[in-house]
Amino acid sequence: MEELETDILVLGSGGAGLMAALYALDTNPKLNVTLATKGLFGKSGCTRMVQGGYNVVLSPNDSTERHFQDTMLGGHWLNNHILARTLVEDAPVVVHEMWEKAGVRFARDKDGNLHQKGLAGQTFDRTVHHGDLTGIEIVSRLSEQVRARGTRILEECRAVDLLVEDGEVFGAVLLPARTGEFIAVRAKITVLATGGSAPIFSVSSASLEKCGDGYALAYRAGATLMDMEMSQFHPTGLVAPGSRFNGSVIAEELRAAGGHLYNSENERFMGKYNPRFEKATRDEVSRGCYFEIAAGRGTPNGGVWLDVSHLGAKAVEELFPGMLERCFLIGRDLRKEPIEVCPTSHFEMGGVRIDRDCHSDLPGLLVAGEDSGGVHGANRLGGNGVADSTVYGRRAGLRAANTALERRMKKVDPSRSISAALSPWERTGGEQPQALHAEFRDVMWTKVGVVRDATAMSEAIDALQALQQRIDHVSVTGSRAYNLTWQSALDVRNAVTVGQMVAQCALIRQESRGAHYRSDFSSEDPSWTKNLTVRLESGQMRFGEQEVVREPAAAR
Amino acid sequence: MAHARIDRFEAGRRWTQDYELELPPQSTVLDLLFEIQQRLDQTLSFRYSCRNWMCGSCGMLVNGREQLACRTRLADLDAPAVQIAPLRNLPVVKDLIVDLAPFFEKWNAVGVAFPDQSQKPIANPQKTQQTIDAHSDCITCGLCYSACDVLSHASDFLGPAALNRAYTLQLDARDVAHQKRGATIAADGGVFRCHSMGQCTNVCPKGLDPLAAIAALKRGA
Repeated sequence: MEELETDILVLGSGGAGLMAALYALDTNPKLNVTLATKGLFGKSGCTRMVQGGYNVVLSPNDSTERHFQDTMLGGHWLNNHILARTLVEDAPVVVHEMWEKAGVRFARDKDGNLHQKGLAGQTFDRTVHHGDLTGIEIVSRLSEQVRARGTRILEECRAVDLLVEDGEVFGAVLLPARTGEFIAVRAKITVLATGGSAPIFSVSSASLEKCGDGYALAYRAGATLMDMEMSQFHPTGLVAPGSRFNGSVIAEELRAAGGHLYNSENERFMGKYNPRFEKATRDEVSRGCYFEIAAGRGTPNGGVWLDVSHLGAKAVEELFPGMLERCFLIGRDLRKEPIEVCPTSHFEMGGVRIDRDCHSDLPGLLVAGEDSGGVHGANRLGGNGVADSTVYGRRAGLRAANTALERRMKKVDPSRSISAALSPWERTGGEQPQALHAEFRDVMWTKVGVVRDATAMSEAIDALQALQQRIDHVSVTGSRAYNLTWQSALDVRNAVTVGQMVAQCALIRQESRGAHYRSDFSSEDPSWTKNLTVRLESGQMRFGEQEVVREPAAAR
Repeated sequence: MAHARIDRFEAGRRWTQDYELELPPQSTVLDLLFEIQQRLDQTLSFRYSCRNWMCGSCGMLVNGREQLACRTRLADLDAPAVQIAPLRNLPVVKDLIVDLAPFFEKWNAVGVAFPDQSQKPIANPQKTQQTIDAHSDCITCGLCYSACDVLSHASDFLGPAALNRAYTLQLDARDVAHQKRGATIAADGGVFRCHSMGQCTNVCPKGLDPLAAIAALKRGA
């Protein structure tokens, strides 16, 4: 087995991973930095898919306090106050540095100032953007810079497990898809930035390879995770039955710009649920759509109608070229007719518990971006996701650079992780992992989805338990190199672990708050203004509670 | 019933394999590949990620033309069978997966260089910015690289994607490597290798025009 040593191992090449690598190297160019990523470098993950933009306070008429309040209100005050404060205060610095350091271009107005637009849940138009392809610009430019600095890049190379001894992290076991042969990487600091778990639900907006790897890796390593019940659904996923295209996001700006949602009775229904109509936050609009569909007022394919044709063909072409093209693929013309949309799993607000410098509970492990929890509380505002990834990716990089040389390296035996990953090869005639994965995602969607109740979630938990056991009987064939079925077997193992965390936490939280809606506890309960935690203890999933982290009085 | 003929490659062996299967009417080539891999043949390998033509991972030849699998509907192909093969001008690793290293080596060769400035941002003039914008949003899918006739016989040619990126950098007032990059662009393997056939522009899934970028670089070189 190949072995590598590196000062800093970054897992993931989305916004958080790229920023971590970039800032670690720029802080100390002598450091040896290795970046491993499950897909192609800079091409996998979700930052690349950001359409809306980046929330940042730039105008003298806006303020970080206002951005903070919007973020906290959006998150229903479940956010870690210090993390949310750090997000809004770092964002202006990071946007400026991305422009200067990496050449990221954001759209400008006629006076040459960065153009800012508004997204739902904001009291000020503070979203900078690059048309509706903001993520491509950010990730492409950051990727160039990371490549240019000579970083060792291991692409199409997933992390199977973190290497842990006595509660400290010393690197990871990697599996390059191209060879199928494991690599043990010893590192002084490991930065976990693999992204979220939206595709644990069968309708999802995220890139297809995502499955909550980071959460599962951190959980198996013994880290504490929090807020895992807070799964965000974007209200307008494109309905494309039977296609992998199903669930792709139709951008929030369509609603922000004046798009209307209609049910099958041609009723603009959102007014029944929220006085802000379609401009309400994602959780509220998602539920509105869900209730209409559940009441039998949905479209033929189980969605609702989104219409922007009244804005005029020219405006639609100018404002939403990417979305226009996206709709053409399913044979619909956004300029002229409504399109079918339904809620789609989009983001996980929960994740590894961190402090403002990205420390997890485990020495040697920093966590940034969607792998971490606490920044967004019960609901993330559009535009705060890429801000989170880049702000905390940068912080993780700075922290890693400043502490890596103080830490030792240690050789940890990877054999248990490797045998677990190889176990599907030891059987023949077992279940097909991808079929199991699909079954799992259906359980999550139907029983732990947009609207939850105790009965359905208890059924889900039993079903997940059974799936967990069936994972031990999957088998794969062929060669190890680029074996998609084997990769899926490793995916579903992680995904079911994450699904169990989500379902169990959702059952415990007996209230509705933000993205978490319980039909059997349909209102917000102030006594639940606390975070649920989950960690692995003595081989069991243990749940706990913690007080929301608030700012010290002197800092307010 | 969909009929697919797929070029296969593994461990030095090449062959073509036929598959037949039923698919929903909305299906894309990516859907077809997933269905084959999951229902008929676990050994088939291909790349994918975003399925929204944003990542550029699933570039391949579909009925002889460079396409993104996620963006290509079977219903639009208007052919009795869909023939799928890996991209050209890049080494094949397995089945439909190619090694993109030569593509990115050339991308790197045109070099990005932005100094870390803490002062007031430098903004490009609006007209320049519009030109840069028109040549931006490359998703590094490699379709243009595959379609380039020059690259098929001159592997040292930088290729359309790298030169298109070079053009945006040469225009960008914030970049500080114009002179060095200019020499790379004008050297052997640079813009003057281009025969202006325009296949790069024809296949770009983002509607970019590398041919125009190369022409502009030639004028400036």
